[in-house]
Amino acid sequence: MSMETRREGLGARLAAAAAVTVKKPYFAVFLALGAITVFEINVPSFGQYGIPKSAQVLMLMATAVAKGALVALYYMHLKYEPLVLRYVPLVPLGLVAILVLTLVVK
Amino acid sequence: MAVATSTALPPEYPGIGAFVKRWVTTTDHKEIGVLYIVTSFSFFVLAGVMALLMRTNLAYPGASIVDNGTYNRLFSTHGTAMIFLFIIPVLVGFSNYFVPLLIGAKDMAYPRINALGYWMIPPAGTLILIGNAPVGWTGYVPLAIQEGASVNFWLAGLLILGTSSIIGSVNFLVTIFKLRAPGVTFRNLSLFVWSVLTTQLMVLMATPVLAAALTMVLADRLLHTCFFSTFAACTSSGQALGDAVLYQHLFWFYSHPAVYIMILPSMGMISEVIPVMSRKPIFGYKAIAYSTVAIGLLGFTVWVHHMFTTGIDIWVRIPFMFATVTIAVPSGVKVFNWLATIWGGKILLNTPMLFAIGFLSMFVIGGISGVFQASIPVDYLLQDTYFVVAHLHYVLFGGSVLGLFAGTYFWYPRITGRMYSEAWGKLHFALTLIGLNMVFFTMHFLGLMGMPRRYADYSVLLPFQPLLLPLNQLATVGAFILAFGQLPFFYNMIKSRWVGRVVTEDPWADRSPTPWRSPLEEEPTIPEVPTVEASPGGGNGGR
Amino acid sequence: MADEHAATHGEHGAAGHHGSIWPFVLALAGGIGFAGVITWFPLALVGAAVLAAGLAGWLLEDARGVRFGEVTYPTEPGIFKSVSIRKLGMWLFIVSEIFFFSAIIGNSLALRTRAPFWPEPGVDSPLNIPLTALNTFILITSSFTMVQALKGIEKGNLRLFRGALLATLLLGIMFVSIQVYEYNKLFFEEHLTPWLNPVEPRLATFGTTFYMQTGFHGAHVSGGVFGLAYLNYKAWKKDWFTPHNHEGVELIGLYWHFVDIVWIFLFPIVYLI
Repeated sequence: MSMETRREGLGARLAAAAAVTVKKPYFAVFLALGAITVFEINVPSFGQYGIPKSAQVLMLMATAVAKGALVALYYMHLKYEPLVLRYVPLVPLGLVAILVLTLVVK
Repeated sequence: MAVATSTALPPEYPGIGAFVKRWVTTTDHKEIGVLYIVTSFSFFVLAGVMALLMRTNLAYPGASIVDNGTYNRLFSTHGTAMIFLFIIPVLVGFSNYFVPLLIGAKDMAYPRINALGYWMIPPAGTLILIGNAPVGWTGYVPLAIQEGASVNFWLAGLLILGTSSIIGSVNFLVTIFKLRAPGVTFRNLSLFVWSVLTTQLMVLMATPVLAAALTMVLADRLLHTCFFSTFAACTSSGQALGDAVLYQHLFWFYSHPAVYIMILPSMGMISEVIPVMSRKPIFGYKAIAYSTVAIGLLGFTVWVHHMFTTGIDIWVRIPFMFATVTIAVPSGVKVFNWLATIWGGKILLNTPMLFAIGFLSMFVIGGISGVFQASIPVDYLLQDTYFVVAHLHYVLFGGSVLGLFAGTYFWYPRITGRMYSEAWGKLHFALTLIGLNMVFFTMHFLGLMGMPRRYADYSVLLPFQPLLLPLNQLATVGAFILAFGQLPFFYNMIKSRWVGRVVTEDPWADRSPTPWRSPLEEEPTIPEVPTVEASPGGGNGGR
Repeated sequence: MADEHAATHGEHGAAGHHGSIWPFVLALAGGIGFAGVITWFPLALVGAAVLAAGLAGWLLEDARGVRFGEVTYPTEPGIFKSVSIRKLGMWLFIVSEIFFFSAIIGNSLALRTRAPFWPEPGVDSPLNIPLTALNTFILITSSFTMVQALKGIEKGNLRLFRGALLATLLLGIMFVSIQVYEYNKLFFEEHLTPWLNPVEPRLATFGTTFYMQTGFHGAHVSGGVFGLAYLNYKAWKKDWFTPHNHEGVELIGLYWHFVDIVWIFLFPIVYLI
């Protein structure tokens, strides 16, 4: 079993993976992003319906996370990449959370 | 051998133009590594001279040779240069040289970006030295906002260095993840490469935070924004708008990991030296590799221990205290594994091994004094005293630099193809170890007696603590022994480069599991495979 | 420049290393430019000129297909085995950017909790939400056209590829232009400055954090516009990108989408909360 054959095997598998075109829902994601944004823009006016500021903030954070996840998964292709690449941007988010939390707490 | 005896200029010595051109345009990882190492050691000399001036000043009470303002500039530039222009880049230099060799890669993943990373260091160093800013290596606000234009130079220099570090870290990580030769896996990866991997992960994640903090200080200074500023320009109806503590958070989010960025590669070097000189395989390979990664991750969760006295909520401080104490565990794991490697080995006490053992003992002293200070009440007493200076110098000189010396001697024949002088090396070790303990161990006592760091003059304390004078003088004598003890090193390194015994094989081949060949012969470590002509679309955009 | 390569190539012998003067020029330009910013402004212009020259030289080497370091031997597959060298590099760069923006955004949020006054959106905020909502749509649309360009080249549809790439570039330019217009209006008409000003003293911290966050995002978009312009140029070179060889498009795309994600978080944090 030489290195060459192993490499060819990998190359062949990669080529095969590229040939099978996964249907990527680019347009659906685009519509979803637009719809969420329309919702977001209206959140500041929710105050007049008695929805407290804290709930608005939570809503906006949730929509932002949803939009960010959509872009990262579909437009940045993380959904189609090997699992390990998904951890590359995910692991640092834990450290970022510690940093932001410590900064905000007085 | 022919090189040494030939009368005509060998190809090694082309004209000055070709020489300059070669070194300015090189994208070769070995040559860039050498550039890093030589540049960093020159900053080591400069920053060392500054330390000597400070110690001379402290040998007598009062501003004996420099005035207070000059003293402030000396300790600031000493710290900045030693950390950012010496220890970090010199370790990057060795990583540059040896990571590709140890993983069987032909070069780094992005050779041109590698060269860019190096060439940012001379301009940045020039800016920092021109500025010579008197704000400490930490550049705390509000002082760093209040001081004159010199701080702008300091900030500009550090921002350039930060950029250099970030692009370098991407390069190292991709190289280690993607360019390992067949058979080089994470189960048998060199422990030096493991340490570089962890170090560069930390650089990647920590340095941008420093860059953001420094950018905001620069904005506060040049645009009078209100991030950290508490001055009149940022006071609204009696309340200061900026918050100086936020700068400390961002600064230490980088600078605590930076401590590990500075020591992990040295630990990696020790892990290479000890098994060879003990003629035993490393004990606990997995434990050392995993503890390196554990130190790397835990290193991000301890930064508030630098800020215990800033009035942060106690419930924020306590978890950081626990994390700080916890980090001693993986460090201890490493120390015991190194000891177990030496235990029962056929020990060769040559210069690299002596420095490795020096590293072990000094690092234990520095590490344990760090655990003392992790305790919040103890930190209240020791904060900003010479005890802190003693601790950080045991870790950075006793740890990083001794490990670096071990690696330098160990790899010297491999870089130059010649052997260093063992006698000069041992003299260097003896003077370094004696000098360093005289100057830095004494500082523990100075700190416990209440001598504050960063003061040019301690005469007001003398009536209460008359011992401060003789102890300071002892430290100064030690500093001179330490400084003059480096002369044999430079003499040895420069002289042996030209007249040292030529070595074509690993001088410790009988002890190494994987002996190497010297650069005088090409090293065909890589199985040759025909080059595939890539089509241009593969391009190399961004390289 | 070509003979320079021939010369350095020879010197490095069998290893076949190309030399390049541009790293030196770029680093020098950075040093001169930065020194100019903090001392004497004309020097910054000199630095910018050298920087432009260095960047042009760097990219010309790239466009000519000079390669620095390539894998011509099998490597250990490892944990990122099906992720290419350059894609991993781009993702790691994005990780460093995540930390940079988190530090800026986190610091701004912290300042907000300490500020005596903070304007309410739609009540007393000087920010123009409809205009920036339009900008948000522009950026989202540009992300969509970017993936269309990638789809185009993957399928060999050059018309779609070139058209969508041009659309992305134009949308990017539009975003930056609207931001410049917005800055102009806020600065001169609403008296929102990054520093404390006597007309609107209450808005000082708000202005400081607003300009820092949106400014650095805008700078990143501008950098992306530059990258897109270069990509557009390459897209018109015959056979530079092919259905099997178009990684450059994907990489610039990754950066572009990341900048979009930053805006996705900045927009609610800065404008809507």
